[in-house]
Amino acid sequence: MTTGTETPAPAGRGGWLREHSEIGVGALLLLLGVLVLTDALTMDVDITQRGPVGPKTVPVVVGVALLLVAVLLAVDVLRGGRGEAEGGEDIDLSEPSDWRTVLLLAGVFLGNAVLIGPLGFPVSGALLFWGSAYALGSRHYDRDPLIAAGLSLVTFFVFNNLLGVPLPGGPLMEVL
Amino acid sequence: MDSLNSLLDGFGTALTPINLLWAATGVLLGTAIGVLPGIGPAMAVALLLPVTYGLEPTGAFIMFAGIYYGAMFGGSTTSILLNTPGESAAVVAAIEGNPMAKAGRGAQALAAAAIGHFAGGMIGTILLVALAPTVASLAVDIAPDYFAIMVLAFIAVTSVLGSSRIRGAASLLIGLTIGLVGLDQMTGQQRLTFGSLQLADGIDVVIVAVGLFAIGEALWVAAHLRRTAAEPIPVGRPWLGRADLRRTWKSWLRGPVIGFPFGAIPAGGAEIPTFLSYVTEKRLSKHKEQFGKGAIEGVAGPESAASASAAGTLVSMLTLGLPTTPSPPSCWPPSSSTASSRDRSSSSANPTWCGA
Repeated sequence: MTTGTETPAPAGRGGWLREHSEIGVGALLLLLGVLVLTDALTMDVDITQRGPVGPKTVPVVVGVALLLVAVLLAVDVLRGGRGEAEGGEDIDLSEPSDWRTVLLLAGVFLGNAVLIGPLGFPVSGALLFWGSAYALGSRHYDRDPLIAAGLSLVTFFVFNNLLGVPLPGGPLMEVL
Repeated sequence: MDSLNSLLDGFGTALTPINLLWAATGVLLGTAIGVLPGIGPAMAVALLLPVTYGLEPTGAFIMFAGIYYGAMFGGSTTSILLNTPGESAAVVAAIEGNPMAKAGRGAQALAAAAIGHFAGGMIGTILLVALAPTVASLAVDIAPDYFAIMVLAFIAVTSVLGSSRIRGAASLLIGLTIGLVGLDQMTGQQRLTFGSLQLADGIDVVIVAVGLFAIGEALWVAAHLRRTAAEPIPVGRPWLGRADLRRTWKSWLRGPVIGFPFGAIPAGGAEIPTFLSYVTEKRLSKHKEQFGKGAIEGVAGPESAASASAAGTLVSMLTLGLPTTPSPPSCWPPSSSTASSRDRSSSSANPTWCGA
């Protein structure tokens, strides 16, 4: 998956944080490491453990390794290292990240996760498909909702009725 | 010839009408999804993962292979016609295929790619069946040393993830942390569950795969969406001429020789063999001056190598349980784990390292 496309020339705008955004990944690793170690060290294993290796061992190793890699990554980033960005058919790496689209799309995904229970898949799926199309730039208000609804219904019937993967039908399917 | 028998046996199983139907459905779906811009084989498999839920394991496996090969061909289609490779293995197809398409020989490039995939897949599978028993008996001998295999798997994972080892190790550790969530298998001790009953079951590999390949990829594409439309190119005369055949048949046969071994070794992947195959074709070709401007050998060889390397990755995948590329073969354990979740007895016999 990771491709060898050349990294785009770092743009001057945005400044230090933009150049060193991977420090954030280091921070995440640090946080994870602390979390894993705390969980491992507060674990009460007196009853379960027989011998030197127990349920604590692997978490402690992983936690320490996380802290280590967090520091190494931070050092690497500060010394000018940069991760390869993944290229692709529809990806234009010369443009800065488009946060509006990302947030819209993430919102649509989260909305689907919240709504799939109460509304059922056919409705939440239609919203998901239309919302994604909208977030990615399609503005056909007459056509997109219809396609989304059709796609959602077809998916529901294929999975629920043909393949036997139960999906929440929601109130709509109770009516039908 | 025990392996020959099992090969014929395998073809016999695959050739039953119902399994052929699953294979055809898989290839069709895979190509249809792989052709869509921005979706490579890995994402196609992740997206279509649930489709195989209703199938028995053999059918599911056959369908997955179909989806994967189909998506690979779909990826080269966009490479050739739009000059936009969806994944790194299809980059080479764009180098020669796109100039061919621009010269009105798009259909020939597509045909060379399709037949290349067929040849690579066939030869790769035959080599897979011939080699798998040997590797598998090796695997049985080293069975107690799971730890060594796990270390090898981890090293393989960090080196396929890109040029930076630190970043590879970072993603490996994030994965291990996700794997820690749940009950310890030996003692039943809760780890990283924070008292939540749902987390005590652990985090399913399917969820991780979909999150990584589908949601993650979608958000990444959204962040860097290309706002200008790509230019489609007319396909032209849809025949592969005799002159083209004469130039390509050797390339189709040479591709797997390069692709298969690279796929089989850990950290091989499909990128290196496709480029190697391209360079080889360029050296051996009688039409060196055409390379870079649309030489059909430059499409046929690498495409064949790509398919054969996919078969090669299955050698270590099926015999040792080691996914040697970051893309679909590492997603196949979910299909076997869904199969084994229905059949609990086999789940302990077939540990999948993805969920280690």
